[in-house]
Amino acid sequence: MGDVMDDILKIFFEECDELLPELESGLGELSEEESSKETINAIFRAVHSIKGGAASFGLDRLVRFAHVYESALDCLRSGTVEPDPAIIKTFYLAMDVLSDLVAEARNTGDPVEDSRIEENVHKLEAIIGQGGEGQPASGVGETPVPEDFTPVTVDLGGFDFDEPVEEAPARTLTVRFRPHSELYSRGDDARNLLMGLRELLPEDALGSLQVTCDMQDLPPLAELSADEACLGWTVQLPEGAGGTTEDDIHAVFDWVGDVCGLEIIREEAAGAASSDEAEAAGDGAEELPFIAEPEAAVALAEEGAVPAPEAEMAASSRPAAPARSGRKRGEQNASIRVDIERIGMLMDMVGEMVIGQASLESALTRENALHDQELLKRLAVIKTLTRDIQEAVMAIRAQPVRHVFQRMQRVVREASALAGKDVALVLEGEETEVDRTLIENLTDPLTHMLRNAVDHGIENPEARQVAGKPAQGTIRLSARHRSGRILIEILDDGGGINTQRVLQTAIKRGIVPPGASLGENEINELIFAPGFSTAEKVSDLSGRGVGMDVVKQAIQNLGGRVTIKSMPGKGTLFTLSLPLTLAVLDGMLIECRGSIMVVPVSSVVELVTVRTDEDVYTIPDGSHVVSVRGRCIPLIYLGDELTLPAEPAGQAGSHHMGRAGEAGQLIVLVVENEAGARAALVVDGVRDQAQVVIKSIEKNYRQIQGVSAATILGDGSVSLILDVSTLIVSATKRVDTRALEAIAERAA
Amino acid sequence: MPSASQIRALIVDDQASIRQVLASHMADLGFKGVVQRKDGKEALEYLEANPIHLVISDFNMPGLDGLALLEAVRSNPKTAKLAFIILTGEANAGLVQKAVAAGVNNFLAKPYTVAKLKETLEKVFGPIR
Repeated sequence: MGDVMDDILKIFFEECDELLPELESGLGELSEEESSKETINAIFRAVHSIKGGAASFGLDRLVRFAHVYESALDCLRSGTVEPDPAIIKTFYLAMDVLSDLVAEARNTGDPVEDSRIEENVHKLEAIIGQGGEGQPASGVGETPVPEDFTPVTVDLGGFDFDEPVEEAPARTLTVRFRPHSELYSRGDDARNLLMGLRELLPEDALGSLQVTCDMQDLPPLAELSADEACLGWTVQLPEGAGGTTEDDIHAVFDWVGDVCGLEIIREEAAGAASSDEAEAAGDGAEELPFIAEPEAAVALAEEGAVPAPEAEMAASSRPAAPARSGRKRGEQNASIRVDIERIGMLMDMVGEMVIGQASLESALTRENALHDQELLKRLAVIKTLTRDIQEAVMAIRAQPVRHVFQRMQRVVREASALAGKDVALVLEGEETEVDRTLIENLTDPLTHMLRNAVDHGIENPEARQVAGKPAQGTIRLSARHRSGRILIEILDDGGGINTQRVLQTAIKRGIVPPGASLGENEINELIFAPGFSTAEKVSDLSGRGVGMDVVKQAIQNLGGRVTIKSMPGKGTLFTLSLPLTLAVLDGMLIECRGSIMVVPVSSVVELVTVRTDEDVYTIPDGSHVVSVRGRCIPLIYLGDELTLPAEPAGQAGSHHMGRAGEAGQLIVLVVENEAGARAALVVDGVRDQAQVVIKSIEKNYRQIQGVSAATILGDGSVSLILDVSTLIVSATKRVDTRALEAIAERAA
Repeated sequence: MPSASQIRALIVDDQASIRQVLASHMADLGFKGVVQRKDGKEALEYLEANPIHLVISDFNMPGLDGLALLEAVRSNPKTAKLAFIILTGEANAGLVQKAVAAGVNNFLAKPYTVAKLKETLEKVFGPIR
């Protein structure tokens, strides 16, 4: 029993997942001038359903709150209160509490503080009082049935109880199907349909399934074609036994819906009469008892070895047009729920398949088999298919960011209430789709960034008015795709970053030495430094102990970057750039000191050969820069940077490692991060471009500076995926930007 | 005097969790093959083709609600006599009055216990074995 209830409880929480967004969107529609009756009803029903469900599971705290909320909404429904902004706001806040109480009951959220519930209950009761009910909502569980109601006894004489429900299911489902002639050529098999029907019955019900073969379309032997379906079947099975329903039967025919005529008839058949009727229905037809060896019977039917072809089915058993039932099924199957774990498994397997395909290719290359045109063609097909499958699976996992974005409305609502500010959140590009894993991990960083924007970005209403801005601040949260990544921007119309104050704080906290001279961007970046906080008063938000450094780390863990742009007096723009998926990436395979490493193609700008004696400069601090198309960029000797052991002399590739000033050539890969900063990676060669499966290195080993993850190459070897952004940042830090400018001038 | 297993029951509620809790409680009382439908319209379609002794229906459902279902059931000679119990949790007394006027047999207030369910049913059917 406990298990049953647990399962139902799960269903209830899933319902809550649907009801809460319905409630939210209903409240959103309320804000507009005219509120339709349906909207109000939908809002009411959402809260009512949550209450009702919660009551069934004894979730008392949830029930009690939902009850008051429901009563307040009832005033709205009956028209005793009008949805003015103050009331709508109360309803929003109550929704937040309700949603937190659901999370609490589900053990996915922190317990909701009693004082918060209390406060919201008061507000709701004020609405109920305003509605003229005069008293707060009646107690929970109190029967709203009038005292003087007397239950009405039914007249049992009018009922027929003679036929116990469990012994003889009253209904027989007659399933008639006639596969279209192309069934077999499509790779489907009528046998599977019959077996599927048999499986609908519990084991002890065998014998209650009756199968009749319809051979009226069976052509003379000479015209019989082995791959054309020409038989039809009529199957009678008891409804309800083992829970068989029409839906179950439709499910069996789901795969062949478009090539199989299917008709399901429920027959009135009382008690013992049912079997008689079944026999009558099959009268004149060749009956195949479908009891002990159904497979044999089916095989017999398939071979056309059934005797007496003149035994035709009654005219009524002709297959009906599938149109009606087919359409109905189509509607029901518009979407299905799938356990996310299964999709995760699918994704993992696709990952393994990508590796498998790469390893096949590399094995064939080793065998020198790739000269074989036929083989090459087939390999190309597999490659295309692998990529298509992978994209299809990704599309299944892709979800619009809407869900996360909408949650941010609440974050802003709460944060602005706490900070005493009036802030509107405008959402853009909510339909932008991202891999589910990413979405799950976006909520926390976005929450902190939006709190931060409300807390530190938007000014106080007074300060805003002095600056000539509307009292209400605006934060714009937008998402869009750009070159294989997703860009999320948080733009506030606040005062921008006060660089003076940031610098002072950073000096005070010992993050930078006193007297340091930093550029504007460098100062802005200090916001992300560990242990930094500019909040002058420790507000509730900052008090949560999460700084922007944590946010940055979280985004980096997702393979993303955060950049910041401050427009003094006008606002601040945070840009998150994230990969679309955490599962695979397009990589360029490069060689460096004998190791193959992967550089994400998305960050590669160009691949050039430079002359060490002409293009490479050494700057006073000892580091190197290279001039590429008139632009000086820091040069990174990848092997040195990653402290890879030097190859024994004489190995291929080592002659490339010329140094600045010596005559020679270098192969450099110009890479760029999202902020537009570039660096040139010195590599020994470029091997290939391939799709690689991302394997977390932190999970399996530990974090390595300059390396974001690992992958498995076609030959089975492990290869590192370079974290281009970190490499660029560390190189840029080393190189004094002023020296770069000077060199650029000299080079020009 | 019927045994629970003889009573053919139909549960109507738009919430799957509510339906299943009720079905599971009814199974505990000995009911067999309880049918579930998610709104008034589906329930009427089912009632049209199947003899049913008892309908337990929610009040507030999208589309055809519990009250409209009750009225439709009572106005059809084929189903007019069946037992109709309304599941309430509703704070609105007006609807309850209307249900009484429409000929409801009994109310089952949410939340309820199995004992309460049994009592509610027995007030309609007499002692249930």
